[in-house]
Amino acid sequence: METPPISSLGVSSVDVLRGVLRRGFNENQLIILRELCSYDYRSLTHALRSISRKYGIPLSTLKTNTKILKELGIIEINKGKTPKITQTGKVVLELINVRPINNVGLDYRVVKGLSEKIRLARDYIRKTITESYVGYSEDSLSVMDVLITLYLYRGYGVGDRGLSLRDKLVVSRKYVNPTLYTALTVVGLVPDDGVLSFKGFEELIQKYSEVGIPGIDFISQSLSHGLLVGCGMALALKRDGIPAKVYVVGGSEDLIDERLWDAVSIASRLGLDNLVLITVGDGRLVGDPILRWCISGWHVVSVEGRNPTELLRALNEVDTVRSPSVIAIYTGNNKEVLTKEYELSTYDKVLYE
Amino acid sequence: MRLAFGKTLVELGLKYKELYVVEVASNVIAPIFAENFPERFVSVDVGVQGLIGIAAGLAVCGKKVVVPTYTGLLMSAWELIKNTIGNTRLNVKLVGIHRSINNDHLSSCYEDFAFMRVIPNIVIESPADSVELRCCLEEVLGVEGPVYMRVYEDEGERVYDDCVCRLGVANVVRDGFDVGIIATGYMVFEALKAAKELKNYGIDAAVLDFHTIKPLDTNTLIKYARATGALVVAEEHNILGGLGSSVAETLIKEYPTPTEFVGVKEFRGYGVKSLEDLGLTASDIVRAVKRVMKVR
Repeated sequence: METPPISSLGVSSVDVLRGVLRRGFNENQLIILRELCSYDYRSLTHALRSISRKYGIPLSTLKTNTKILKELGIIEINKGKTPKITQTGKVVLELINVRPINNVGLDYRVVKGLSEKIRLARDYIRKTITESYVGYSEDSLSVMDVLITLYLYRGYGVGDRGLSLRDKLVVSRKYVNPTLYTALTVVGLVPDDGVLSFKGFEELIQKYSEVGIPGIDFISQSLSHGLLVGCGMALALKRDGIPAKVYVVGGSEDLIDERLWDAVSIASRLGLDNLVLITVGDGRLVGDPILRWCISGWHVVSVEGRNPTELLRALNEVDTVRSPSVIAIYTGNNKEVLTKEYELSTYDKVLYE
Repeated sequence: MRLAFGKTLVELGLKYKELYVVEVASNVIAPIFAENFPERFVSVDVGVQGLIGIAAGLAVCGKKVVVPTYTGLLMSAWELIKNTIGNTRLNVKLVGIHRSINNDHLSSCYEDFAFMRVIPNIVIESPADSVELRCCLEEVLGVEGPVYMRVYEDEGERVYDDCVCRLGVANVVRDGFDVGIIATGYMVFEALKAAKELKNYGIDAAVLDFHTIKPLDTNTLIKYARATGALVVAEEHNILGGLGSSVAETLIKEYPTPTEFVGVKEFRGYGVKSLEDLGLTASDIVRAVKRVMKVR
């Protein structure tokens, strides 16, 4: 039988070849390859830990698959150096159509799951606020996306005060009790008994000072004090050699408080690269916070609007930098946001764009 | 006492591997701890409010955190101590270094107990001398939750040769039947001096060291209120809101007893150079005892 030269293959034949090659890799290997070509990880350990956290795949499974990829000559690993895709590997990736995450958008399943959860949470909270005639929808909804995205993306377990390997979350914002309650219910950290009411929020708040809300490590009751507490937590993790991150979710009103800027300078002086501040604001900021962050040596990512895909990208980006990072989310004018909140269809369109 | 505090902290650092000390970089209270355990010593050039935040963060991650700083400075972070540490019952031990009026009259703070008493879940300690400080610090680090402890900057007078100290239980330094002198901190020494002087007048005074101000040892208090029928409270603190107020609040409910208070009346930080000027000496206690004996 005569074999035709590869250059003479048509488009349909390349598709066949692609299918055959693709079958040679399992799901986990594809995830590893896509992650490695998207980001510059510090080392293989850093890469595998981040992937494990992000996708919920056991570390041992990832290690086995990485070994196979190395033996196949697709990736090259040098001790203590950034793991890289080899030249041959790049050709294979091109053939099987695996491209960096930033170019093709995030995994469809992740975004879809997220959008469903957010829609559910919005339905919950709107219903509760309408039925009980109390609460502020603006405040409640402002950090909802951030919380749910973080929970689903980072794979939070039930909150405990002791040391553990999981990432930590500090909420530096007042009056978000309904949001917290809804977000926790939607992601399954608080049992949903079907009776969502403000009584539920009150009970939760009564509890948190005693035992801590599941999934949240600390709620700051004082304005802008969350970042300082976050600094302490990041320091504890760093000194214990635990490769987890501390996320502090706050509002733009914190930025007017000098205590926040104290914390900003402390974080860069102590070299807390495991600290991430997420501020949600309507853009009416006093002074020039971005400039101040940059001067203090922080890595700044600005995210326009409330697009979870953008937020996921920002989270990916700050995962690889070696300085404290801030993700500044601008939600635009409050009035406009409120109108948009109730038009779920518009929201979904934005999400899938 | 400050030196004894540093030494005890180093000893306890060996015992508790999770013990952290957080301090202001420009004014380190316990340099000896920093020398021995640099990996567990955090010094930052920031206000006390920043210290409280970092200490709270470390405590959330399961550390035992000691924050030594000057009493007056600590009061500037009251709101954060209440919200961040008190309400959430974090394992942070605040140590207020108290400067006596004899050394530095401008930064003396006589309102710390009053400020701290209202904070939920907090325990307040005020040891009388270095020996008691050692026991107290061991006890304090043994319990979970927030604690405020007042430590005198100078060595001060020795009250105990050896002592056993339990949180929430007052020490009976000297037993007596005519009058009970309830004292805390440095005033225990002055109370002992007063008791000796009162013996010349034929008055047998008991001296009780209430090193724990919150929660108050009500059992010992009621026992001596019943036995003597007259009490004098002596403290190096404002008469409002301190140990005296705490004693009065308990007595009025449980066993109303004639009580006199020896403490700072009004302190504005100037025009006062010594404890005599503030009315915090043995002779002031003696006068108070005589007053209360009249109305018994």
